Amino acid sequence: MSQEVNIAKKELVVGTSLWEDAWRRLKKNKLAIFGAIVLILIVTVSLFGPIFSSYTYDQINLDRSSEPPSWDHWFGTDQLGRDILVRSLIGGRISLMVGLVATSVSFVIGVTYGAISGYFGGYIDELMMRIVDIIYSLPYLFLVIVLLAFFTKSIFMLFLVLGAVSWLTMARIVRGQVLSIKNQEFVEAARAVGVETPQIIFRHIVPNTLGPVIVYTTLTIPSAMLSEAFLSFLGLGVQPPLASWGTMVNEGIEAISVYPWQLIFPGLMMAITLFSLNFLGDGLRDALDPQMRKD
Amino acid sequence: MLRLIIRRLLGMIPILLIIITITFFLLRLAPGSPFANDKAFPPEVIQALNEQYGLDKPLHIQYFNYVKELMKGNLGPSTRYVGRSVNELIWQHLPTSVVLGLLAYLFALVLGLIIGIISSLRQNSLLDYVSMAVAMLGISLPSFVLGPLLVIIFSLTLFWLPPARWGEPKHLILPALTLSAVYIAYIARLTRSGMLEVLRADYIRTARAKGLAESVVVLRHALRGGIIPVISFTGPALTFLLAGTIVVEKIFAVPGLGKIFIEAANSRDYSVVMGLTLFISTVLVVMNLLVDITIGLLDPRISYK
Repeated sequence: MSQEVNIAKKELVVGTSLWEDAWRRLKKNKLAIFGAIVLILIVTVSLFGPIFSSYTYDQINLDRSSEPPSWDHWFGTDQLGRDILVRSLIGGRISLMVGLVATSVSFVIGVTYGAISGYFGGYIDELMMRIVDIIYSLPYLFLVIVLLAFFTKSIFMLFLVLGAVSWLTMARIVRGQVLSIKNQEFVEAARAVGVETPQIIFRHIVPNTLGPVIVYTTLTIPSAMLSEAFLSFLGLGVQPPLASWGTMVNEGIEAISVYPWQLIFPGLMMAITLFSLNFLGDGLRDALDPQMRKD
Repeated sequence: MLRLIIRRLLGMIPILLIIITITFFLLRLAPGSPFANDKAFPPEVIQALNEQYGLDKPLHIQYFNYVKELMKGNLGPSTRYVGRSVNELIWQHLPTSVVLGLLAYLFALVLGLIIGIISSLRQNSLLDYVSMAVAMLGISLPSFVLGPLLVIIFSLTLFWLPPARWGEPKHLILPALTLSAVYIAYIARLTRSGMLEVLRADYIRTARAKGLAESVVVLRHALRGGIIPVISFTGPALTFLLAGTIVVEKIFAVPGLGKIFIEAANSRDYSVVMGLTLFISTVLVVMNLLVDITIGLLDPRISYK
């Protein structure tokens, strides 16, 4: 065990200067660090906040329906008199989870798939990209209907559907980048000194595609959160009394002119999260840009 | 290049066949059938209707019949709109969706590229931050919020453009803008990051060192390499713009394909859903072929051997 740790440490010092370098540069970017802190704060509050509240997310109190923010209910209450603060925090857990799942799938599967397809090219590329085309083309509405008919409604199904689509465009973007990178000199050099193919792909080529990958990832998260709201509306995913930011915003919009706080607070939580992610993503992009390593 | 195009066009046939097959069986797997929704029909009538449309035959016979008719270019009859063929329905609503989708695509490309390029040239300036923040807002605002918001601003406050109306070219602007908002944002952000990557590359330094005008360096040299992620994204984007118009159609009362698709899906009008899926997947496959040709032309380092 201790030996393993030693080896890992050694590698960190010798081999992965890219990540160390990136971390050093990221620390200097105030906006990115600020984004990261806000994100950590939101995750912490969503995870542990509800424990300290005297309300639960499904506690109905019709005597106090649609109350504006007050000392009792900081974010006000919804039509059923439920505390919007607690609901926003619980909703945050779901929305953050949706973002995390969509991101990980598109990161792990999308990047790997796209990199392999682009690197090998030719018939392999053609086959792999046509499979992506096929998955793209399926009518998802029916996939959802069929899933709903054969399986019990669950959040797992929601993640499955979101995961199935979230990696496709990523794969195409990475593949396009790899096509233009793979014939550059540094890849030839790596090949010439006998670096093995997986090493070339994942150590030399993929880090050079991270710019668009990170930017596209920060774009995937909001669209996954919105798709979640839509899928929940279709009946797949979050069902009342449980809520997510997306479903709360959807419901809030209907009452916007009468009870604006029902839209504003969950919407604000979502917006703050997305903006922080955005700043962190841009900072990461700059930090990982190999062209900037000189300075 | 010509060989690539011919090979890919021939390759479309098996791809579309696979998509048709999966969709066909997926639809039949879904609970419900075309006439079961109309509770008023007695069972004999439903039986007769099923016979008339060939829905009483075994599934594999239905499938082969469908493919056989498809080879002749016949997408079959609609079960919801009695007496009308799917070909007719698609042709009737296609122009609207295509015009709207293409206009939105144009907005997305032009505005997205301009915003992205300017942001990348002024990295970390106030202008950069503001445009990227607006882009993030464009992605996070669902179209059922953005659409009404644009109507309030441009129709009800400024009186520049008419609210939900259909017929004249200027009626296209607000729906196209609503539809393209997300894609403007995607393209702006992808352009910015792609350009940032390229602007520091050696060949750009060479171009500058040669004394080329900045506009030539940016538009002719940097943009070529910088927009490859954008181009990769535009294939799927156009497909979504053509297919994903349902919300916008509803807000602006646009008679497009989205409504037809949802209605067909709800009433299990199999042949209409099949026809539209086939149309969308054809667009996707063709777009991705165009994308591959374009990035090959833009970046001389790319070869499809």
